[in-house]
Amino acid sequence: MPMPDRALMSARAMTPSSFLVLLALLLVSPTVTAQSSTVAAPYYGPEAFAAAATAHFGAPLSARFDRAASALAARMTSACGRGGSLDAAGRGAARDAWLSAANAWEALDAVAQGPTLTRRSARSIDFRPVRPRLIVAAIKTHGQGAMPPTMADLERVGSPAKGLPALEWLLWDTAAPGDAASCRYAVGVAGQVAAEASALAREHAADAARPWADEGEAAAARSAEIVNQWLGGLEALRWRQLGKPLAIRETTEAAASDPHKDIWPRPPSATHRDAWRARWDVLRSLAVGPAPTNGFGRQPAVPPAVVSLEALLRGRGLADAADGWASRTATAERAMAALMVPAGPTAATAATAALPSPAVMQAAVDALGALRAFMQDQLAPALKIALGFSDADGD
Amino acid sequence: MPTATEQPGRVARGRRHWLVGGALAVAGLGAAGRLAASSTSSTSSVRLAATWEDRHAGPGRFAAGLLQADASGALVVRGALAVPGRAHGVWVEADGRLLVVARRPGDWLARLDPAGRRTPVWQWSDGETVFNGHVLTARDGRTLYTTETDRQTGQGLIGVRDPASLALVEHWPVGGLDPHELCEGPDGSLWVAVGGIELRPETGRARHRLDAMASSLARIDTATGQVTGRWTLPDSRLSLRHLAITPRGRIGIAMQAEHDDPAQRAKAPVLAVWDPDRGLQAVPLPDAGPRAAIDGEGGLIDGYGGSIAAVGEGFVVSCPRAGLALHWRLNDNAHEVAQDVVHGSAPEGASARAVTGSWLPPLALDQVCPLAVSGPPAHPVLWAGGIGEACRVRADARVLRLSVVDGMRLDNHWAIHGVTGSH
Repeated sequence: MPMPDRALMSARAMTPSSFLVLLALLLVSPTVTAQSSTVAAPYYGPEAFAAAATAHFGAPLSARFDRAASALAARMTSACGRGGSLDAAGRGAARDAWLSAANAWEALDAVAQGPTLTRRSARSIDFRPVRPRLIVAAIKTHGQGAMPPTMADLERVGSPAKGLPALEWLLWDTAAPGDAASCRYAVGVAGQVAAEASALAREHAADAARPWADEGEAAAARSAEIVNQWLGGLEALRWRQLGKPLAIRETTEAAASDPHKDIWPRPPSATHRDAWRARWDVLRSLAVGPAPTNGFGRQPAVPPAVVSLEALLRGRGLADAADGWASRTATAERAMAALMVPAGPTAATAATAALPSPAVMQAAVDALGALRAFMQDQLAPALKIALGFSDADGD
Repeated sequence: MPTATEQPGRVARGRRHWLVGGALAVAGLGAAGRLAASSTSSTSSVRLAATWEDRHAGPGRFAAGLLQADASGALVVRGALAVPGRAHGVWVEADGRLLVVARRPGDWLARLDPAGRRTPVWQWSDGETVFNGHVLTARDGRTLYTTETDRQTGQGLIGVRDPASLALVEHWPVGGLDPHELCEGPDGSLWVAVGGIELRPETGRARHRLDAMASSLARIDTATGQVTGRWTLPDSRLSLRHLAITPRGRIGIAMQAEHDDPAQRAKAPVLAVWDPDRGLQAVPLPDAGPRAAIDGEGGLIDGYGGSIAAVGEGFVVSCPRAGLALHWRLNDNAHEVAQDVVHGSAPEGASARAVTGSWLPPLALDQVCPLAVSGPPAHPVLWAGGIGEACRVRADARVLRLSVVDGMRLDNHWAIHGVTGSH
């Protein structure tokens, strides 16, 4: 894994001459002052960046997902009652709970790092597309008993038949069976999601508690991972959730403008806007979120707020690059805002409105594409980070 | 701006040199090392099927189409269609249309008419598998094959597809991860470079568990879909990725090294050769002496072969990180052998004789990657694309430098689309 830009090299690797070189560098380093006429900015090394990202993204977002997933499991259990099937009220309540959990997951997955990657959570709880025939088969196998399927039972079920997408299908799709067996299966699947969320919250909390300031090599690797995963999250939004559906719509004769068609991010609930917004909010926050202004004193082990990618650039004296990055992020924010309709009485009402026009969606794709290009061409090279999601490498 | 003037080898060009030297001529791109006729600047004959990023059109704009050299010394676009993301492999069908497939992990496969007369045919992945970047049509035209990966299990697959609709007919497991390019053997069997690298959808193109890499060359019986042969190299960190096959059925494989240690990567071979007598063998890079000649200003090869083309019974491997296209020629005379050999697995019952050949002075071209060979076997012409420039190298080693449109970033591969005049 390539190492990010470092003025803070390991002391044990330093010879006397390299120490002098380092000293000279520090004297002119952007650690002290930014090079342009703009306001001087603090320098953040990989330790601070990793500490901030785990403390202000991984831990709180996973805790939020844990709470939402637990609520979803409880709501499903309650709605299905003791061996019963879903009624309208129970279904509505379960849908609201599902939406909260799905949005919380989307936010956590927007910049998947550390435990989210090592556990391969996306594969186990958010594998798309779902396969209704596999869900129906799983219900026949695991929904017939008096109790919901256990975790062990569900380990024998393939990813396309469980997780949040399977619950979405069971709660929204008119073709989904609404009987007691499917309800029991849904309770089991919600329990599986909640268990994964709980494990994620525990592991992210431990991750955030690591002494990153003392883990230079691990912090450098994590920093590179976060930058890569930021780009991966952007690509998921730009291509998988927007560009690809648009391209399919243009290149096939399918009724692709139907918001319930499975080319869109969240069929059949059609809560695409929620998915787009949840993901973009996290991406934007890490891109240009408020940088801590802790002056030039000793850095705290965990910066008091998000260390944004913009802050990393400014701290290295790359004011022009930082300005360019901020400008493109602002353009993307405007394009993303145009995708959203005014909030209705409930999130679900707004979310299930008709799709935005193709032109509005294409504008968002283009703005996100410009942001991606800027990261590939300028931001990542400036931070000396190799990109795994890049279009710049070969194959 | 380059002109349409052909130059003999080793023509100074700024700080670079064309290091073709007399190499291609002496070695003979032709079967018997004969020199081509020395006519000069017929430039507008060959059409190259290509894919590229069009940075002039905006960030993340990609296209597929035809390129052709014009009389002014430029490689110009002769018909192009926008594609929705970065494309990788391109295949020319009998009727002149192109099969283009998205780079791994890819979502789409398309049939495009570069003339724009016929409606494109699109096939989108169903989400359970992704395309790995290469496609070919069987010689009999009845079947189309793609390399793919199962998103859930990560296992490599061959997608067997209907040639008219591009729709999936069935999947054949290849028994490994990350199958990449494929080619068809003389007997109709399918050969697949199985890269052996674990990728995960959630981490894009990041490589995982490299210690468990298991790359191989697999042969598949297309009548049954069964893997009937598999060859590996002792160095498990060499990923076999791109293939070219000679008229006699010898297969060259361009490799990419995945060693953690940069020093190991730097000296890693980028070419392996399979033949029925000797099995699969890696061809070491030239020793220090010849190596000094090729390293020059091009930088490190870094164990990265981007593309491969068969030239006679030899191979050219492009090394974009070094800015070099390396040319390896099979020795006709075993006594010529000096430095090439190799460690590899011979097929059961076969002799352990090493494949023998020679490295010839390479072609220097900034970030060279796509390659193609046109012309008759006796007088092959090598085409190579780089950043801002491309080269045509004739059998007499004359190099024609061609400018490439500013803002055009060529992807890894080319294919010969056709010839509108004589060479």
